[in-house]
Amino acid sequence: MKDLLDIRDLRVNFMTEAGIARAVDGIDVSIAPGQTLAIVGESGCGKSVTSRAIMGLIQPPGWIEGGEIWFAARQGPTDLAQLPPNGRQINAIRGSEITMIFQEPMTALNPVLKIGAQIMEPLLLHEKISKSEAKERAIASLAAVGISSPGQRFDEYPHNLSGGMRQRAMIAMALVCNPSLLIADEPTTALDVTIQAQVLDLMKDLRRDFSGAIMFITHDLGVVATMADHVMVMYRGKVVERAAVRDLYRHPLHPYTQGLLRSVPSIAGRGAKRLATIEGSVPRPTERIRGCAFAPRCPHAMPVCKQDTPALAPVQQDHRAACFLHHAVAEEQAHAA
Amino acid sequence: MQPDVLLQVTGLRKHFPTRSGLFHTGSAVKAVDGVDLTIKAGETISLVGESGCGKSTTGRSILRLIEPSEGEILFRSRAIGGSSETLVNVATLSSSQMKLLRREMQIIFQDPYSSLDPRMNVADIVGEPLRIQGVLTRAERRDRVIHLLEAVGLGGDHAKRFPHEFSGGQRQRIGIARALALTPRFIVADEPVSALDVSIQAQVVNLLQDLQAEMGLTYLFIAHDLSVVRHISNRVAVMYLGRIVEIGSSKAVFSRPQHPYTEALLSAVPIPDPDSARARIRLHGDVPNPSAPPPGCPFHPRCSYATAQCREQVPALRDAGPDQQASCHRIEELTLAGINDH
Amino acid sequence: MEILRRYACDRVGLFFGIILLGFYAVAITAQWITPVDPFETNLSEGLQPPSAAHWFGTDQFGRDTFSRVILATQVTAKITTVSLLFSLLIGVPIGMMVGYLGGIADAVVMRLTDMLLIFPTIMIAIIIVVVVGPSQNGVIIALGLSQLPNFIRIARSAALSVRRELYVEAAVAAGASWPDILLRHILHNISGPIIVKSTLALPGFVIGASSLSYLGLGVQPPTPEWGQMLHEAKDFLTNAPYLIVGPAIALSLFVLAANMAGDSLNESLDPKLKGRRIKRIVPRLTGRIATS
Repeated sequence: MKDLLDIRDLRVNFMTEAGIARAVDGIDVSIAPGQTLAIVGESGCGKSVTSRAIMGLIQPPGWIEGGEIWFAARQGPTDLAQLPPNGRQINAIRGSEITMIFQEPMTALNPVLKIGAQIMEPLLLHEKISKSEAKERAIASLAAVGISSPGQRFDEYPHNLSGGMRQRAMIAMALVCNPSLLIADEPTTALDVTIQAQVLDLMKDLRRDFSGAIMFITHDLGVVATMADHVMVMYRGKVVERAAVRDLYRHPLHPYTQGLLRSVPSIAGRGAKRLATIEGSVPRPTERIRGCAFAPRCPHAMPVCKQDTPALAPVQQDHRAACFLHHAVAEEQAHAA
Repeated sequence: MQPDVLLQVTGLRKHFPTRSGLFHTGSAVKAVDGVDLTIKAGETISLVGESGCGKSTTGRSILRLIEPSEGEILFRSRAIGGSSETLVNVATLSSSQMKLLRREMQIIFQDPYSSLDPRMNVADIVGEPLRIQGVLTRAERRDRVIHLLEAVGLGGDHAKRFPHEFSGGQRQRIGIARALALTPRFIVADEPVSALDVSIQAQVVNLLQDLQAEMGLTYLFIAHDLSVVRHISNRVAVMYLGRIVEIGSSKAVFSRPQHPYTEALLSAVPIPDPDSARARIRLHGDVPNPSAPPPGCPFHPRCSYATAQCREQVPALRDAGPDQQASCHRIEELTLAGINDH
Repeated sequence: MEILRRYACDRVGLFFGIILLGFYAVAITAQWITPVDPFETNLSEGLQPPSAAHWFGTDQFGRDTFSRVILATQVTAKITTVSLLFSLLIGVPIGMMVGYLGGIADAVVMRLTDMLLIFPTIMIAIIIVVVVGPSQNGVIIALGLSQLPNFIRIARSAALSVRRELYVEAAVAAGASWPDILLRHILHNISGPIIVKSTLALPGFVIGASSLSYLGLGVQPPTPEWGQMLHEAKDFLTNAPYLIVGPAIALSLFVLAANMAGDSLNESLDPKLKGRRIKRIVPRLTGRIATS
């Protein structure tokens, strides 16, 4: 196994009053070491649930219905989906080998603990080092995320820091154990645009030194273009397209990706007077749809789209799409190979 | 006031007193600190800036949802003073006159969840302004609600349903229908698409533009998403620490910004194009505390072009090009980078 | 309706809710269902242990304790309901108004309630009864007034949280006056929590009423009341201990039922607790499916 993370046919369900919601409905994801994969999609597409499943954070009323989450842990390949959610094994991985940055730094940091203590916590938990060593490394990691006078910040509380600084402290906390996978769940969504730019720049700088892989979850297509090497587009619990970032923006294959890219107004003031839209809205997560979930909103929908569910198939080298429009191409290529 | 001007704000201030210890007199948070704004009939003017810059407080003060501390808000009213247009100062209207004026000025909110009363059905929500103003009979109201729902792209059959049965985009449409119920001329749209997904956002932006064309609406559009602002507005005002630092036609402001803050704001927007190679201007530090703004130009501690003059003198808003004003001491010397149309 | 549906899912809550309703059914029909006239004295049959004719025995005047417990249910229900209504009808409008309007009125009312809350409920009640005189109406006024601060606070904090909602601002933007907003939006949205808190406050009212009567400050003989009956029974604790059984069971069961029903009503009202029951069931279910 050369992938760092290999998710196979993951399915996560939630029990709601309206019935069972298939939040993640059979997805395959693989991340190679050092890769930055962005998962994009609109609210409720399952991108955050995927990250929580990796972290073993799916709580009732949700549960992992099926599938495997293979992770190349230090102790050897482990299927995270099989680990008990609060067991010793997942705790050894979570917070040290896989770490996470959340959208809202204020709620993710404990308001009554000093910043330094919170950054030291994973070190003391996962590595056999002394307190003074841990403090040294925590201060070094605060410095690495561009926090000025880190020695002083070490003894401050989260409310003393601004939103941008808090997000930096979160990143320091996530990186202090040198994880092999960092999951960033909408890390800049709650920030103002100039602060977002600072944090994105920081993450890009860190990526140069950081050897691990990053899974970047966002709905912002602008952020994806600046951050990721690979992009995965999700719609209603399924992956509809996956490609290298340039291929996806230059030649989007799935009609949903195309529509999404077209609906963003151009900041340069180019484009038509009216914005392109995707008609209708995302069906409710509890609704069962036959065939492709996007078909009811798709301008290119064919009869087959309402009958069968298209699989995520390679259309070009390293560019996959789950759409019948491209299956003919995909099949030809399969024959040629 | 020019005949084509619908609303003119002069010297608007809103200071919120801060509470501090028992024996200290707290300093006020100057949320809005001297805003002048002229809005022409039929245009869309956007207020942009980061959180805490006072853009939302400005919009709410104009509607007197927040009582302004100081300033004049002149509005060309039709509801007050019979059929002819009368110039009124919104800031000093009595509550009965204000109630009349509310037929002409409405608001659309950001949060499509908290803006609709969960216990009321859609017909009651959309019809509420009509009921409060007592302008139509019950039957007329019902017809009007159905008409409004259709105008915003919802079916009349949605009228008896409750907010929780709708998606975010649909809820925002309900909020828009409510704002339109009294056929206003001026609408403050406070981040109306910020909470929506991209594809839904485009639908609502189009709807707002269609309604403007049909009903001759004037929008004060408050937003932080500069791409949407570029798309929807005729003019843009950039706010920083309670003041307008730059104002002008949106084409001019986006392509030739005259204030360093505008330049930084524009360069910070992530462009959805992996090949866009832009020099990004990194702003250092955070927005200062609005209860203790720095002396001189409020932006100088973060500005890379700041000089000794900027640390001492507050720059006034002055002409910086055709249909463009900025408050910067160094307008003439600086050439700032905008967003170029390749 | 949604709340009731969810409430009905909770078996324990439903069970105690039915018991609570049962108490009120007994209270309403007390006149007709007492097997014997609860006031009829028969000195020759005084202090008899429980028998088929007298389930809870008879007191020193030979009155049937069972019938008196039933009539006492009516007396207690009347006192608690009226005093609860008293606190609700005065406290909720005041709390809502000061919560929504804020300012000086709010500060004054809150300081006043703070002052009242310093004293234990029963102490205020005693003072009031001393002023008004020991009677059923005295108890009602005493309980109503002493619980008033709680209801003002509940309504105020509920109104405070609704006040900031954007739909209230939308109504202001449409020209609505504050009484209109209080009636249309605030009252509507806080009625749920208020009903729940009223149910949860019920045990306090019952215990208050019984305590006052037990102390001789409330309902006066010969009218039966649970606390008053306990007071009479305590003199015969050694030779007729069965006398306390009836009123004690009724009192405890009523308090327990009101507490349990209130708790589960609270749970079904709070959206955050939504799906908690489902939460407990689902993993077990899926675990079973996975193993089979």
